[in-house]
Amino acid sequence: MSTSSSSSKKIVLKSADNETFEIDEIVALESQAIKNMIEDECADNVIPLGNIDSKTLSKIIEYCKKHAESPKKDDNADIDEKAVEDLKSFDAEFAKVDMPLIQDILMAANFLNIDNLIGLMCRTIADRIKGKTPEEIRKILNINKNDLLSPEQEAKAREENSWAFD
Amino acid sequence: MSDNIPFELQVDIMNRLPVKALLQFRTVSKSWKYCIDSPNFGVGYGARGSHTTPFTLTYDQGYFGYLYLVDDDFTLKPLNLLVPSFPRSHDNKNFPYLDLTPVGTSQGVWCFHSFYKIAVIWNPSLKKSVGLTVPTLLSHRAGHKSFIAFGVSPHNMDPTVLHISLPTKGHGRWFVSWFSFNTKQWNPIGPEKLPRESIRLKRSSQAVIGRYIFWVASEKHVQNESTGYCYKSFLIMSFDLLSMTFQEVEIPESIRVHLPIPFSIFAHGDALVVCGNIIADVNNVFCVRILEVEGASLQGGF
Repeated sequence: MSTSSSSSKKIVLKSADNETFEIDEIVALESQAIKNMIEDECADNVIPLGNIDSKTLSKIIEYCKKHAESPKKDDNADIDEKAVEDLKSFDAEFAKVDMPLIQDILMAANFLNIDNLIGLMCRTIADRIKGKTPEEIRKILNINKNDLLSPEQEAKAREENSWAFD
Repeated sequence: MSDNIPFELQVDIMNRLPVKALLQFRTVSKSWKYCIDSPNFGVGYGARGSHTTPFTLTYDQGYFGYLYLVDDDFTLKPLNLLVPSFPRSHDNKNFPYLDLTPVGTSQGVWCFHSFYKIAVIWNPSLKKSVGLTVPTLLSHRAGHKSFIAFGVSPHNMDPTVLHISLPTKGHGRWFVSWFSFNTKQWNPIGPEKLPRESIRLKRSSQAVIGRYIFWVASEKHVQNESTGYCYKSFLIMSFDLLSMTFQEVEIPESIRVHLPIPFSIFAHGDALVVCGNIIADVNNVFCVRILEVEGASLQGGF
C-alpha cells in the first residue's frame, strides 16, 4: 500500500559536525523547509544541514518525532484532551534547557521552518527575559553595540515610561 | 551557532512579553525602541496577566503632578514623588468607583472620568491605573460645558487626556488642553488647531483608531434669519494625537448619502463603524456601516 510505504520511508539528516540521523519521512515533514525540498524532489536521501550542530539537531528531531506522533488538530475535530495535555507537558519539559541551546534551537527551527517550535522557543525566551534588566537582555541576545541608545536617549526613554513603574 | 537571533525573531519574542517588561525594554537598543514605539506594534496586543499591585496615581489641582497610590477599594494614599507637599483635597478619601464613567479605550488602555474631576487611566494588562485631576482652572468657565477625551499616542504609547470646553449656547471660543503622562503637564491648544466655533462634539461618542480620536459632531445652521428656522448637520471630527490638531473628517459623497442620521460611531480594529436608524417606509431599519480609515480620512466601506 502506498500509505504504508510512504510512512516507512526514511530520510537522513546530516549535521554540521557530520553526524547523520536517520528519521521517518513523516517526522521530517514537520519541517516546512524539508517538506518543500521533498515535494520539489530536490532532496537526496541525505539532507546536509551545514549550520545545525548535532546537539541542536537531535533536540529538534526529538521535538518533531513527538509532534509527528501526536494527533493533529485538523485530523480529528475532537482530539482527546489527554493528548493535548501530553503535548503541552512535553513542550514544557523540552524547553528546560540552557539559554544558548534555546537560541540555537530557535535559529535552527527558523531555518527549517518549524512554526510550532519557533513559537515555543520565542515564548520560552520571553518568559526567561521578562524579569531581566535591559543590560542583561543585551548580553543574552548579544545586541550589537552600534545599536545602543546614547545615555541621553536612554535617560529620556526611561523618563517617558516612568508612569508605568513603581 | 553563534550568530545573533534575526531581528524578526526578536520581534516575535517582544510580542510575547508583558507590557510592563516591554516598556522597560525600550532602552535595550535603538531597534527595540523603534519597534516597540512603532504604531503597528500594539495591534493585536491583547491584555496579558501580570501580577503587579493595582494602584492609581492621582494628579491634583494646578499644573503640578500630585500623586496618589490607590488601592483596590479606591482608597487614596498620597505618594510623594513629584512635589514636596501633600495636596489638601482627596486626602485619604475614597472616591466611589460607581461614579466612574467610561470615556474611551485606546491601545488596550481605558479611561474613565469621575464626578470629582478625576480621570482614571486603567491598564488592565498591567492591573494598574493612573489618575489625574483635571485642574479646576480648566474646568470652570461660565457658559461652557466641559468633558474629557482620551487616546494613547501610538508612536510613543503616551496616554493623553484632552480637556474640551465648549460654549453651551451659540458661538463662542473652544478651550482645549491636553495632558500626557510623558509631559506631565496640561498644555493649551492654540485656536488655529481647534474646530469651527459652531461645531459641537457629542461627548460620549469618542472612538480611537491609530493616532486619531474620532467623535460624532454636529453643526447648527440658520437657514432663514427672519423665521429663525435652523437645521443641524452631522459630521465626524478627528483629533490627531501627534500634531494635537482637530480636523473635520471628509466623508466621501458616495458614503455620505447612505449614512443614517443621526449616527453613532465606534472603533472596531482599524475600522470605524457607523450605525444608526434609517426610516424605510414605516419601519426603522438599523443600519451599520464599516468604514475603512486611512489616516484621518475615510476610504470607503460597506
